[in-house]
Amino acid sequence: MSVEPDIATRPSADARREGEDGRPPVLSVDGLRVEFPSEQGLVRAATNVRFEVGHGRTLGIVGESGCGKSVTLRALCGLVPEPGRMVAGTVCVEGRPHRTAKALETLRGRKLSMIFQDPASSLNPVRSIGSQVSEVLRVSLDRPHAAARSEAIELLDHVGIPHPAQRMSAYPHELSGGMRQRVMIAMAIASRPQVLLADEPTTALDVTTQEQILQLLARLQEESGMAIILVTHDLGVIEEVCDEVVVMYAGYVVERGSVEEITRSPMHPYTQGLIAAMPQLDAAHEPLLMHGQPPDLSTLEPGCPFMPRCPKARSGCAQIDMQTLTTTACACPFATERLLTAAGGASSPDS
Amino acid sequence: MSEIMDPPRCASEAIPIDRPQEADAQEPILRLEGVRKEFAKRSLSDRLRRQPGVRTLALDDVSLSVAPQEALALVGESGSGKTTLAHSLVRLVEPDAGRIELLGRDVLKASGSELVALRRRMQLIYQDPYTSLNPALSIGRAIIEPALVHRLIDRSETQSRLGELMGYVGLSASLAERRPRALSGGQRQRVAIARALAAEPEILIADEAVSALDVSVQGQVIRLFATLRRELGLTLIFVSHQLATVAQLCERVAIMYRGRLVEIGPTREVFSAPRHGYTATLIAAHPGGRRLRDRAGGTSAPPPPPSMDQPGCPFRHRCAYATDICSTHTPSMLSVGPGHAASCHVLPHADDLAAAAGARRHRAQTRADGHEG
Repeated sequence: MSVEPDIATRPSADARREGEDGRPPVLSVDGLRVEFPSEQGLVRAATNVRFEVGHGRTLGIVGESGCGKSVTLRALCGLVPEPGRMVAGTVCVEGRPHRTAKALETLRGRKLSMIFQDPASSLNPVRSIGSQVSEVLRVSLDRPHAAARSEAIELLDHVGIPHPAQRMSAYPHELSGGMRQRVMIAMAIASRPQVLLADEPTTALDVTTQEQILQLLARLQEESGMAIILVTHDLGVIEEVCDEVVVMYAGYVVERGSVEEITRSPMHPYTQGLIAAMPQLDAAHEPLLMHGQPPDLSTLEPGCPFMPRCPKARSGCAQIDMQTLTTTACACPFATERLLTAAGGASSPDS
Repeated sequence: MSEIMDPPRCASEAIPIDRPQEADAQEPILRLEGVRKEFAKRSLSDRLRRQPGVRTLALDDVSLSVAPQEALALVGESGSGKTTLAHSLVRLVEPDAGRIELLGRDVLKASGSELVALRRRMQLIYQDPYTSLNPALSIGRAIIEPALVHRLIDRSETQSRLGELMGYVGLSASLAERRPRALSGGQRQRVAIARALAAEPEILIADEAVSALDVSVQGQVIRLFATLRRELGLTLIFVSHQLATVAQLCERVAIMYRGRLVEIGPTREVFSAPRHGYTATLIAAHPGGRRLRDRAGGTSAPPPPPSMDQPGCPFRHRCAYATDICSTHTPSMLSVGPGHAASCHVLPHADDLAAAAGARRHRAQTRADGHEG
């Protein structure tokens, strides 16, 4: 497969400020920095993160545990866990800039809604799902009691819960994992948010249930035109539902592009490694091994954070300036050169 | 039973088989026959109203055997009984009926020191290395403990054996004094594996042992399993819901649905030409390759499963291939190829499966080419 050799020409990488329909992005982040003080030193969980997502589009954030993907998502709605802090960055929602966690918190449950990996621990176990869904409608949207109840039934029906009126009195433990995630989605879409933030929403579910939940999200998006930002470590899920992808490593965005670009012609050695490591259903396919582990973020050296694990590392890697490179399509300055010299050298087998 | 197994368009040999792989002449290391386990849940209100409560058949007549040094995967959704089956092998769950033989000795009848000895030979590794290790024990202590408990080594040999065990799993000996909290998920899972190896087992039973790990770390741990199998001659029973991981590690796969074995056979064959509607559904739901929006399929939840006493195929309500016979007769295992069997009325006789699976393989191939190009 041919690869565009010039990073600057990767068409989707920088052209999302205006969506395909000419509208500005519904959400854009620039210069986001999240830090956690720790005994070992300052942990830079997210550094200079920038991306945009357009109306009705799905952006995937992918990376290993501890790469900063979840913390980035939480920062967008002012939910960085203590003692972490969003120390810099601007989040524009529908063109309006917000610069503090407090300002972003006011959007949560209105313009932005979030769903989490584990619906079992996000729902209150001692209250019926009906009372929890109606509460969202009463508190966030000021609906009167009776209207909230009937609207809650409609919402549960809308997210594919059978016999919603009877299920209103069910408790979370009486529902399966997939059903609980549907309830969480019903609560999240109650306020008709512009952007749905989804943190590993299907990771805890079986593949068949995962498919149903992803299909539900796709249908809701089609109906409402909301944007979805999906955090996952599963590239298979990314490939199925996302339009654009950002790849994060050690708190930096190391590559960005359309889903086709990222999955078919990845440029950054980390993205290439992730994709080559993905097991496939075909037993003849031998995934390549990615060595090592993500670095300790409290003792991060300057230069490329992937260098110790990179099969293509060279002496110049310790000198590169990640701060500026993370806003480009690919944070590896040597990717262009490599693509020009060896078109077939994306992944060399290592033992 | 047999009168329903001869539809006219039957292309395969319609002979009922219990243990499809027995042709391999090799004496199985582990043999299960008709293993059954029922869980009864009786809530307080059931008891107050003197109602019987809800019965769930977690294992329904499961028979299979495992050859020495093979890697067998147990695959299914949550609630399929795969973990119950793994746990009943070492009697963490006591089956209600059936027979489990380890090298000819009946595990279910063993007691006392005989049971301890049998359990030593089958070691379980759990999904979550964060909760399966004692946080108060140093990892060196955690690893060597089973060897001391089973008196496999003398106290004086502790250090040398510990070094050997940590070497097997690729852990630096300098970590021995650390507590589990200082380790990453992948390292903790290596500790759990080393601890299992300390008991010098013949069989490793890995219950979703890589599911909680990142894909890069998963790859490392899977390679470790493959290496250990080869170098120590271990038999591996790998419980997983991740089909792609199974394809990579196991040459044989058993698919379970609602406590029943629905398909068993060589992994490559089962995944490329599934002969049970449930297997086909699992494979179709496997993420990757296709855009979800382009795919047909409703977004509503699956209908409730039939009650356990009804006849018919337990999967029929969700099955894209279901016909009339599926709701009146419970299918039994049919041989569909060497070592490959499925309990389905329809798919063992279908011809278009290979084509569908071929198209899927083609897509996967195109994708793989793309990554390397």
